[in-house]
Amino acid sequence: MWTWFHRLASPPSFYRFADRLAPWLLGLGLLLLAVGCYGGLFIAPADYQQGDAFRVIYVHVPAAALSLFVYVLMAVAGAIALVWRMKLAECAVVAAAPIGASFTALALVTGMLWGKPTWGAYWVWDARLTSELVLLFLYLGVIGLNQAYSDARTAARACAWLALVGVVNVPIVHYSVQWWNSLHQGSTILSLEAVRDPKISSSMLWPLLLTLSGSFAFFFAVWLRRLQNEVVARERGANWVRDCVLQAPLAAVSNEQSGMTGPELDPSMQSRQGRQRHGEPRGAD
Amino acid sequence: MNEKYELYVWSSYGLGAAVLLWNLLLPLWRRRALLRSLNEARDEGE
Amino acid sequence: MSGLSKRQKRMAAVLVLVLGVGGAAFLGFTAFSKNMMYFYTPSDLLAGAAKEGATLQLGGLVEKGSLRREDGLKIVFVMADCEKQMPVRYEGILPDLFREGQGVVATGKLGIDPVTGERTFVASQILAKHDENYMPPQVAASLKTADGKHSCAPFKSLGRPAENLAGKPMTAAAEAPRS
Repeated sequence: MWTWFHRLASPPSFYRFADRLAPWLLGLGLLLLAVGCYGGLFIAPADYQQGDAFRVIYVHVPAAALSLFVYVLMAVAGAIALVWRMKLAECAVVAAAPIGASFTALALVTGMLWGKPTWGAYWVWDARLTSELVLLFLYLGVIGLNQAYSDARTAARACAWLALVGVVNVPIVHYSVQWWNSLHQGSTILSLEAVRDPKISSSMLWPLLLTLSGSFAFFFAVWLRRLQNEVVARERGANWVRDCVLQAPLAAVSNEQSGMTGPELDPSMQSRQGRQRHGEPRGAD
Repeated sequence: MNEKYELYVWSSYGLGAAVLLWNLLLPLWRRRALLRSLNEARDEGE
Repeated sequence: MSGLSKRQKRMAAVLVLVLGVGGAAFLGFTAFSKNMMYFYTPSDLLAGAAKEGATLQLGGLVEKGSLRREDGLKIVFVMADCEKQMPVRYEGILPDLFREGQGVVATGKLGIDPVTGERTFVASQILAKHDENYMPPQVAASLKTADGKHSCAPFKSLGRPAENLAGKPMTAAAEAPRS
């Protein structure tokens, strides 16, 4: 188990692992999303009270669930990065933030588009909406911190600290509707009580389960792709990048040559990467 | 679908599709830029 | 700390940070729980939790059989949580989901009704608070209590945690004890 884990954490084997897994996840995710959206828009019956306005649920709930899940994932990766100084975990923090931010923004905006026809207002400052907005700012903070440092490892560690500080907000977002009075309703599917006593008819539930699982598969696919980019950008001088990224992407499997020998990086490598990162134009992410 | 809610529902799904597309394309573009710069660096080195 | 390896020290730092922030948040939100409430309930207002004349939010279920439409867009109804009731007066546009038995949140001021002389909440805006139940109209129609199954549980009064409501009837305020 540990040997497998260590091998996967080495950049070249991770790179190839991601190359094999990502297309399947992406295909599966898009398929589930397509069927789920079709079901949500055209097959599921209208709600007895909200009518067709409730169909926003099939976009809003997966986006909101991902916004919380991705943040927890980012914080766990951050803890691993800080304690074990594992480079792949550092990349994971940095790669997750923009995806999480985009889904948080989507959850907020679709929530507003749902709120107007059902509540009668786009926005109110109740605990759920406010804490979700704070979550978006936390994501933006992580993205901003990452861009503020020129050295990739320093930046990733700063991001990891912020991710850990902010993780306290995740239970606040989730339980805000239970702990306090809010305009936002309680959990329909993501609560223990809802498991015992379903709060949504099965004819309306199945498209939601499809878009939920599809969104998660999609997230993992694009996260792996971003991780690959992040790893290659940091390891650009290493032999394996030349061998398997630039030439035959899947050919040189047996030749395990990595710029990284252990969790602790030797100092010469680190300074070289710092310089390289400095010269590299940072993308919009 | 009830006309009253059509705009809200369709714009939600539209925005959802836009977020998926953004998440899909951005890593691809970054990858392309990375490979280009790596190739240039290699060509200079040789 | 000298006996610990570098890695163990880092692990301790991470743990201290997460537990520290979590503990601080817990203490802060417990102490200021009142400020996290989006609305007061009728019980809160009757217990004098809010300042007279201040603009505030009041949340509860629209009591069944209490809605009366007056001329124009004027309406009068009774808002109830699990225990107490409060008359509400409003003039303006209502959300689509507004109906008897439905949860609503009104923004306005506590005052005296000019007609009846009773203590009344004069609302300037009314929002619908829908609940976590979704079903097709046929299923709703097959339930005996189609409109009345909205629970009063989401309307939590100050100093009364949600758990205390577990034993209360989970149906509309119509079945809740009257004040």
